[in-house]
Amino acid sequence: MRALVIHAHPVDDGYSAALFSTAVSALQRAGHEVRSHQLYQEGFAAAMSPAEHHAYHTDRPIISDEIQHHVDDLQWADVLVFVYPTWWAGLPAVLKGWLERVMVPGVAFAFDEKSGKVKPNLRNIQHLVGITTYGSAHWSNWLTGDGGRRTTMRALRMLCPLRARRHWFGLYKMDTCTDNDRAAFLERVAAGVRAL
Amino acid sequence: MYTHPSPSSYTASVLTRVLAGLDAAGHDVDLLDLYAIGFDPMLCAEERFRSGDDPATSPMVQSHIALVRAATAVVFVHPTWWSGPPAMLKGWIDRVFVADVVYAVGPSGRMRSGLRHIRYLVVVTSHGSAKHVNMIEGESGKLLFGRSIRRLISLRGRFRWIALYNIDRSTPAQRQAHLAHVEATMTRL
Repeated sequence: MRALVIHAHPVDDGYSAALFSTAVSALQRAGHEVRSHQLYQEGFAAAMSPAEHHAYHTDRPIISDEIQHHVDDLQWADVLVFVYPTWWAGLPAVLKGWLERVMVPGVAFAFDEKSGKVKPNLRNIQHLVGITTYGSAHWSNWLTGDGGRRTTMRALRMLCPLRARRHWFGLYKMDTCTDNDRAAFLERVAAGVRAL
Repeated sequence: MYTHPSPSSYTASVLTRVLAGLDAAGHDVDLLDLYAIGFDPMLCAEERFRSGDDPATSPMVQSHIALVRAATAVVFVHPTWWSGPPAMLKGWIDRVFVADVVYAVGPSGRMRSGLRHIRYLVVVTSHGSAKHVNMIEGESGKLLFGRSIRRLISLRGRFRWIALYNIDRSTPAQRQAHLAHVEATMTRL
C-alpha cells in the first residue's frame, strides 16, 4: 500500500519524532511505500490565509504549489497516518490548519450543487491511523471528550469509503509515565502499523 | 477573541453585534482580532517546555496573558471549521493558555485553576453543516470550550454556546434573526 504520514511536533529529536520515525520505518519494513510531511520542520503555515479563504468557495480553491504538493500526496495514499501530541484535547494548530488548507472542496469532499450537502471524496483511503500522546489520564480524556480523536477518527472517517478502517494508538500521562511505558508504546505502534 | 480571515464575512457581522451588545450593557471590552494583528499560531519548542517566568514567550503572548488574567468574561467569535475552532484560534489557545496561566497555587498551597476569575465563557460560532452532522462528527470544538476550558473557570461561572447551524443552506432572514439573537444575548449577559 501507499502511506502518507503527517507529523506535527516542534521538537526535532523528541519522543514524538521517535514515534514518527517508528511509524515510517515499520511501514517501510512491511513493504509499503511511504511519503511524509513534518509540518513544523517544513515551516507549514497553520492559519488559512485571507487569499485561501477567498478561493475556498471558488472552482480553484488551491492557490499554491505547496498545498498542491500536499494534495497530490493525499490523493496518492491508501493509508493516512497522523502523529501528533494532543494539546488542549485536540490537534496542534498546525495539524488543524493542515486539514483546513489541504482538505478543501474537491479534495476531501465536494459540495453537491442540488442538495447543498457534502459528499465524501477521499475515495482512496483504506486506513486512517492516529498516533498521539496525552498529558492526562485516559479517564480525563474520556470526560473532556477526546476532541482530537473525534476529529481524526470520526469527522475524517465520514469522508472516506465505507470499507476504510480506523486504528488508534494513544499514550496517556505522557509527563509522568516511565521509560518502560514509552518504549512499550513505541513497540505497540510498530507492531500495529506493521499489521495494517 | 475574534478569528476570521475576511472582514466581509458573516462572522464579522456577528462580531459587530457582539460588541454592540456588550457596549449597550456597559461592559469594558478588549478586542483581539487574531488575523488583523498577525498572530503566530505555532506553539514553539521553547514555549512547550517553559516554566515559571521564562522569557521565551513573545511580548505579544505576554500581553494576551495579561488580558486573560484581567478579564471576568471571555467571548470567542469564530466560524467552526472541521468541527472545531480555526487553526489560528487553536494556536492562540495552545500558546496563551499555558500551564502558568491555567494553573496557580491557591491559598492552601495546593494547585488550583488560574482561570477561576472568569465568570462568563461565551462562544459565538457558526457551522456549515446541520446539528446532527456535527453530532456525528463529534463536536470537538464544543467539547474544547464547554468541557476542557469550562471546568477551569469560576465554579459559579456560566458557559454560553450561541451557534448557528447549517449556515450553508440558511436564508438571509435566518442569518439576520441570528444576529439579533446574538446582540440580545450579549446585552443580557
